[in-house]
Amino acid sequence: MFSRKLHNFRNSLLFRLTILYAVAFTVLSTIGFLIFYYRIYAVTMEGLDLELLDKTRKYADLTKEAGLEGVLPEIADETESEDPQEDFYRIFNFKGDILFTTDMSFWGVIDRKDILLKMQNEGLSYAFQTQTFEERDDKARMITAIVGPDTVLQIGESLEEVDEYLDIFLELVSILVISLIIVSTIIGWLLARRATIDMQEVAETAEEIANGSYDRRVQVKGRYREIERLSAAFNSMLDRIQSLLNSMKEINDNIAHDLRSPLARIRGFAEMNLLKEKSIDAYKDMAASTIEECDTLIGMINAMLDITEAEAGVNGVKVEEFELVTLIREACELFRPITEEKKINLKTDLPESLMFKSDRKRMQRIVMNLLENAIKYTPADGTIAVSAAAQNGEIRIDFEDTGMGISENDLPHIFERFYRCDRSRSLGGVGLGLSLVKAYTESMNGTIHVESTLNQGSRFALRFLR
Amino acid sequence: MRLLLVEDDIKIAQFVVNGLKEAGFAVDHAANGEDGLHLALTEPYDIAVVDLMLPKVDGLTLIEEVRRNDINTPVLILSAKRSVDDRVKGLKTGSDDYLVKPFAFAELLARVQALIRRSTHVTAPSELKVADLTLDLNARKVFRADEEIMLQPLEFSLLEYLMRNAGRVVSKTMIMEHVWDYNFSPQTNVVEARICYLRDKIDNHYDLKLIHTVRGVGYVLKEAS
Repeated sequence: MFSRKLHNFRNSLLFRLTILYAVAFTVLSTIGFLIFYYRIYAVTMEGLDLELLDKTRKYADLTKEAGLEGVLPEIADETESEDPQEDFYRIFNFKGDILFTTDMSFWGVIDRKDILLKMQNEGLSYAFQTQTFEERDDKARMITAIVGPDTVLQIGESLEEVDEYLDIFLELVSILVISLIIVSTIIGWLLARRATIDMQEVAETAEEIANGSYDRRVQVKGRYREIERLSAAFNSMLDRIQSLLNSMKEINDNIAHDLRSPLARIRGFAEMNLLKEKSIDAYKDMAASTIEECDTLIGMINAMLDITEAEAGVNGVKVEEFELVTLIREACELFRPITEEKKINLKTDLPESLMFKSDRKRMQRIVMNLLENAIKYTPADGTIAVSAAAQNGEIRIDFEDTGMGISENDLPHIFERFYRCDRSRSLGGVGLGLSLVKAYTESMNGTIHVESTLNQGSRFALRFLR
Repeated sequence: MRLLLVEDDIKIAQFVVNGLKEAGFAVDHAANGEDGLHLALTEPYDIAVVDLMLPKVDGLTLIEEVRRNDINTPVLILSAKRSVDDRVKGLKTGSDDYLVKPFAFAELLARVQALIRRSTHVTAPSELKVADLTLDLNARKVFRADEEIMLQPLEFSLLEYLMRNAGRVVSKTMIMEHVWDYNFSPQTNVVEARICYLRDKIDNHYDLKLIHTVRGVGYVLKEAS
């Protein structure tokens, strides 16, 4: 349980961001301070060397004026007040024979022959060297310089003071770096928390929605741009899901209504016939109406399956080449008795020939459904015009009627399953015809558009890529 | 004609058996695949009607087994599965036709009779005749009592279909499918309208009515009502 929590925490964005921030800050500040430290060190050493060189120059001038005898009292003056552990002075000739020295008891044996040899070989008038005294954990910076004829002055200065000073500096820097790491971790955590707390809220809302509160929304305003975008996208997705849920619920209600009504009629009719002895004709009537109601139900279920199949793309489109003009003419011909009876003028405007490669059966159904729809909603003495043509690499088929039209409120919904403009559902039909037309059209890579004016007529326009 | 029906739904089996008996078939009914297979392998049938989802042995296995034994009895599958894939699978197994439940009995009967006709190789007639109505298939002409009746192409093919199935009820769906090649029925009753037109020309001026409506089921062309 605990290890799982730890694992979750270690995988959290908050933890990762904080660590990343702290590490980046630590590395950068450490590098910065190291560079700073070594610059300080170099500057200090340079200053020391300059000081030593200045001293030797001073004594060289003195030697020139007053000889060795003039220099010695000066050195004695210089060293008198000082601790013999801090520095030493020696004067020797080119062979290395000591001519003068301060108290060397603390310093012990210090090389002079090697440096003389090196200076002679390289023709130098002075040279610096650093000697480490391991047993004392101390270092000394020395200068060896020619100050006169056959006279060499060697000055050594302990680095203890410099080291101490640099050690204090290093200590300070370390304390600074460590506290910076701590502060940066805290700041990093705070920053990461501010960024993730909004995300956590989005996540919490999502969890609530998953538990069924579909009307919950994330607050969008007053957030970081990224989170604002995420929240807005999240909310619009929720709106879409909710509207889908609502329409599914509506479809369910409609299915329940549309399936129930025929069943209620069948049941009621059968019950009535059983309650009283009836004539054989009454029973026949009941049987016939039962079959009619059943056929309606079967038709509805099949249409629903057809729509679902077309939308899901199962039992895909069967492509064959066929004559579209013939197909439309045949469909119109089939409805001819109905239009004649209703005194509807069914006109066609078709070219000689229009070959089309697609699913013929589905096209038959599309044309029949749109024709049937037009006939159903067009009153007597109205006109229905069917036209088709090839243009701009497309095939267009238009169905225009002078029927009752579709109101603006209904227009966006007419392709929805079970949607019917007349709420009373008195005109018959189950409201699947146009849904099927749309599903089939789209399964054949076509589009359908409808324009309509109430009480003036409608126009359904099909477009297919050739 | 002997017919084997393998169907586990007792109510469906009952009405199919009754209907087929009335149509003159000798019907054996098996309620599961095992019994059905046994009957199919031991008895000589002219046709078998088989449901796909059966207890013990399923329909497809039954048909495969029958075909493996070199029995070429025509088989019609009855199934609630309506997808094209299922149909193709059924037909590939060796069945001869496929009818989706729920179905109209008239359609089952027509298909059974068509399968038998096909397997017994009846030659196509050139003339159809019911009472004093004659339809000349070659000249595409129709006569009633020696008087020529002018029909539109759609009406001619409708009448031809009714006469080929004379005495048998054909449903609206069957007419849409077999006469006009539409595999669905529109809500608007285009078949009824067309039958009305046909009646006007064939029956109206004659005492003997030939085209009859069977409410809820379909239409039948026969001499006596």
